[in-house]
Amino acid sequence: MEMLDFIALFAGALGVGFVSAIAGIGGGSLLVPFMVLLLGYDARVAIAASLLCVIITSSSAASEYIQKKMVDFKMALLLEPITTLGAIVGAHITLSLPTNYIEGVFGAMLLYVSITMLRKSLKETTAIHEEKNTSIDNILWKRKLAGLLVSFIAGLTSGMLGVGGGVLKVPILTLVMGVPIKVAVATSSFMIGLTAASGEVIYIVKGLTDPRIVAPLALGIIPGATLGARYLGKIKARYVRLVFSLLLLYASIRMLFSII
Amino acid sequence: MFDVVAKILRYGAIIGLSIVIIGLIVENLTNQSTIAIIGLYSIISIPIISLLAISIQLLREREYLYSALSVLTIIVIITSILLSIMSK
Repeated sequence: MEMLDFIALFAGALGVGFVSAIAGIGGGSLLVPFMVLLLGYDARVAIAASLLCVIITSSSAASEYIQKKMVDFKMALLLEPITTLGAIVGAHITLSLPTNYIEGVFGAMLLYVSITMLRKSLKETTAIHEEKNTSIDNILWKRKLAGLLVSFIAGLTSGMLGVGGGVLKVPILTLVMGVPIKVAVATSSFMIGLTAASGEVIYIVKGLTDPRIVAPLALGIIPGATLGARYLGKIKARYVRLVFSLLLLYASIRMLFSII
Repeated sequence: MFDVVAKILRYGAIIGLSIVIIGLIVENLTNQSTIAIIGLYSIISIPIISLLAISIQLLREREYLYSALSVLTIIVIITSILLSIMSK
């Protein structure tokens, strides 16, 4: 690997970490298009590298949340076996699909994320419903079943596209399982690492994870996210979200066109 | 109670990444990529080891169902690794 590639990956990851911390989205949805569209990496290699970065970032975040006793382990363990299965299936789907199809599916997911972000930044009325914490034993079996089903899809998305899947996990925990938002974010953060690890295993075994790509990305994304979190109060998150939702929208359209 | 899990996650990520970096330096010098690959495997093993620690803690608390669920998750991951290696 050229020194220039190392610097480009490091600088890109620094920026991705910074922006994802401010915009409140996972690094994977920015890392993969950055690597595929700007640096010209194969989508599978980008997804494999992104998943490994997701493990590193979620491990440090989850460690903080566990110390603050914010993670609902029982809820995570109820949903994790099926999420893990989803991630493994997702990784195998990616390995069997042609690259342009993977980029197309990623583009569709990015379109969803960018529209959600755009709506959020235009409205900026994110009323957080602090629901009463529901005990896992009191949740109706129909809700548990729905939670398991959506968890499988979250795992599938993670393993297939190299993202954490928090965009699906937090809504499952809050809306379906009735977990308060802060506990949901903490629990989702813990689950993301496990889901990403189960998907990443497949990519490593198949030789798609390159340590020479992972190292600069991981070295960049950690300080980037720390800086982003520090500047969170100083920069208007609304404008950052607006600009990046438009950028993501552009990236999603470009990736969607790769199918044609 | 789950402080051990928090420590595994925090220090595991740092150790794993350090092994990858040391491995890359060794690879540049000797053309051997084994250490870097070990680093990758140690990063993905962090959440799995933390799950094992949770399972043991839940067993101590007599939460057998949730302990079994964490073991089930580990079994799913290990089975997947074995199947991937076999189909390689």
